[in-house]
Amino acid sequence: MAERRLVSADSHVSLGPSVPAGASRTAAASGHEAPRDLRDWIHRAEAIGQLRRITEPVSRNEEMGAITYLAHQEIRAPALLFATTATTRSGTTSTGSACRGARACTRTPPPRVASP
Amino acid sequence: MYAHPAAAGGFAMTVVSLEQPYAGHAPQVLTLAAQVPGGAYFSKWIIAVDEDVDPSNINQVLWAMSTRCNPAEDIDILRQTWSTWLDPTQNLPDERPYGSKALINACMEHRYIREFSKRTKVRRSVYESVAARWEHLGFAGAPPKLWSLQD
Repeated sequence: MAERRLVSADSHVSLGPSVPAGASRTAAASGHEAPRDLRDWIHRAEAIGQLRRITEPVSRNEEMGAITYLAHQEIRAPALLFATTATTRSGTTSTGSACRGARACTRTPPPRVASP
Repeated sequence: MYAHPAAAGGFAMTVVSLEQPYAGHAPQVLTLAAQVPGGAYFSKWIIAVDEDVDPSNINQVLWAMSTRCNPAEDIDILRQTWSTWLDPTQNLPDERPYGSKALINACMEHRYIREFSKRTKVRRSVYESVAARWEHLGFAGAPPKLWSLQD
């Protein structure tokens, strides 16, 4: 695998084209490789205390947006991860199916269960 | 009305939140706020925002400047205005008593106010329901208050 060059370890360092020759390291070894998928990003956010899990069922019809908007009135509020979506008033079903979630996170979806 | 402390101790920026009842009202308020005795000295940035924007919340003010201000149309400059020997941007120092001001109209364009893009807001009933569940949802402290809600 080709070595990925570390451009910038710190977000406040400007991204310039030149990296000093002696500073060349593999990104993975430095621990600064970009997250490869959403699950990886979630783990990293959680590791730095920047993820809050909401386990209460929440409607994705306006309520989820309102909670996020309210929570983010605070500067540096953590990202919110909603574990359960309630059935919305219009009768549509939850977005949080294991199947779709697995697809989003690049894992193999669980076996499909025949509907009754 | 709010003078942000980060702007040289509230000296340099004045933000006014207003309703726009008639044509030309926002520029009228900007001009007055820039030149009343209590606001004229040194102040460099005079910003008008609509009533749905909290003038004391710099994030909301930046939002209004980004979504309701067209710099080519909505910024006027006053020159040779009353300033202070303390202004480091005027050089040589002899220049310092003579400053300038930017009057920034970050209100919805009054000429097309009926057609102006509607903003998103949290619906009042949704806010009240979420606020009542705030602790139950796992948050500490009182639910944040919002400046404006959709009725």
